[in-house]
Amino acid sequence: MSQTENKNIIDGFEPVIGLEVHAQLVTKTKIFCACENKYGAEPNTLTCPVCLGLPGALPVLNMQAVEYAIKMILAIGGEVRQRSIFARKNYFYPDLPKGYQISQFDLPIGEGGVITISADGSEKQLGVTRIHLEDDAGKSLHPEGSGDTYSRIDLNRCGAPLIEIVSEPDMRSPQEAYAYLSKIKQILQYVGVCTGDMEKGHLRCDANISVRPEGQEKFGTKTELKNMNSFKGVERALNFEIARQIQTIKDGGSISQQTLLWNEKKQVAEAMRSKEEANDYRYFPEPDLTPLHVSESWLEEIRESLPELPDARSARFVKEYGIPEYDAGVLTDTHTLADYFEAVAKKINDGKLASNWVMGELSRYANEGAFDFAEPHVAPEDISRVISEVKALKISASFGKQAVKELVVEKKPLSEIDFGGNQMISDTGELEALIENVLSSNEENVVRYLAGAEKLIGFFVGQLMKETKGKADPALVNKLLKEKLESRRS
Amino acid sequence: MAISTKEIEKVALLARLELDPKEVESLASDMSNILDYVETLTKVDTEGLEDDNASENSSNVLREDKPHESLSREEALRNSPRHNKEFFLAPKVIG
Ligand SMILES: [Zn+2]
Repeated sequence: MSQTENKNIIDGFEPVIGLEVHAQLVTKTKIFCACENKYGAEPNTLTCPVCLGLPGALPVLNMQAVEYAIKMILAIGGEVRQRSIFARKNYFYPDLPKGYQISQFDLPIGEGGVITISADGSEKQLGVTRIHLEDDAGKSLHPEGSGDTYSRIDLNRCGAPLIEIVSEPDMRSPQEAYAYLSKIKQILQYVGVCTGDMEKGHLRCDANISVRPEGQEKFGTKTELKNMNSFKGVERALNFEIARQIQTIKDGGSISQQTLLWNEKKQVAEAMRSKEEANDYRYFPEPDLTPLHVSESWLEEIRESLPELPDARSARFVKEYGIPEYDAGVLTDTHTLADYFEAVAKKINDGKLASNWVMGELSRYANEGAFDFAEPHVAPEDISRVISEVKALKISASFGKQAVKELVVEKKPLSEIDFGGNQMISDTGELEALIENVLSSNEENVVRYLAGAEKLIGFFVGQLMKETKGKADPALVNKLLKEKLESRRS
Repeated sequence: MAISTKEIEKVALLARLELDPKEVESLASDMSNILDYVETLTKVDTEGLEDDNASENSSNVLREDKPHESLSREEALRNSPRHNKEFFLAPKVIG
């Protein structure tokens, strides 16, 4: 293999990153009890003896949570174990009333899988080690400046279903970690098992990070980074920790294995106190749950319910609608955007034109917050009607844009859009009469044009557009104007 | 099977228990005895039996994803040693 420049080397060191992503599943109920799995309810109103960890209460596994986990495993090409085991992970924390988390340890439901990202213009495959099911803890709130000596605990989230997706240590830069996270989020949303909302904590990410001298095979000592609550936060925390580790080694020190908490406000990663870190989870099989069996027929049923995934959809868009790869990538960013585009493309039977309008006008309004592809307040059929009018040259493109604005921003119903009154004038006779008028009231400019000032064609077009309030067919106007002017030479 | 006082101290730390040296000594001896007793079980011949932690014959025990009513907040907080009628209150761990 030829020696190519490794862009990930910093000061002679190469970062090695692995991510643990927790995704909250969008089930109606919690994983082991029938309390609602809902965000934003009044504190401590969604609990029961099971999720409160009261003595004698027994967990019963939610079938939907299992199906969602399986969907994600299949979506990334992992193996679903026919038989998996739940285990107790023991630790103390105020928001964990049972004193243990129910997770999976040596026999997780999913193993293996691949996430493909594009890095530096080429594709890179990042390995997933495992996906397992577990329950979430509650939420501890530490109101700042309240002078409280106590933390407030809300157990509504306690027992919410999670899957943890553990990657191989395959990432070599914070940018790759960012791309991996984005892809995980995109796939979770496509298969419809998680909202992907990191701000609401529906998606959480811890990172394992080490550095090694360029060319060295063996990994360096890793640290664990926690408490990042945005994609950008993950990237910043990794950049910080990579720089810290490299500096430590260059100063002759060594890296100690520890857990660091990212402090977004101070933009630093801080070590946890040793007592907080005194965790030896003492996993053992959960005696209250039977092993989980996934039959071949159940697996097939779920496999068949999987939607088309982003990469496949993007490739199909290129082929089916003849749009560039880049555009297809943008249009398949979320499944809701892809659905919208596809509905328009089918309706007007023109992929390129649909792509222009969806990526242009609609995405602009989406970026401005005036439109949401996930909850569109203007149906694709209505947008398609506007585009069809433009395509059939019944209205001008500029009026088409105006119509989209009226639908999207002014929230007018389609019935109030005045297509008739804004019909494009493409009748040759009508335009010729109008042109005659414009020319005879601007005789001096006609003379100048004929004397060589050909730029004045723009002036005449402008006059005509003014007369017709922009409704004249621009291509036809240009052609007719030139003809009329030329005919005056003799 | 002897359990060292060091192991007792580690388990105590994990369980957030404060033990005085005398308790550590006596627990080490007690736990060694318990483990010796359990050790007897390892003498059972399990050759040819499937290693498992729960009855394998039972089929899956799964629940439909249908919500039930939860406890009222008052009921949920009732057994807590400290609350403010809205939240459970616990000594601050971080911050
Ligand atoms: Zn519950």
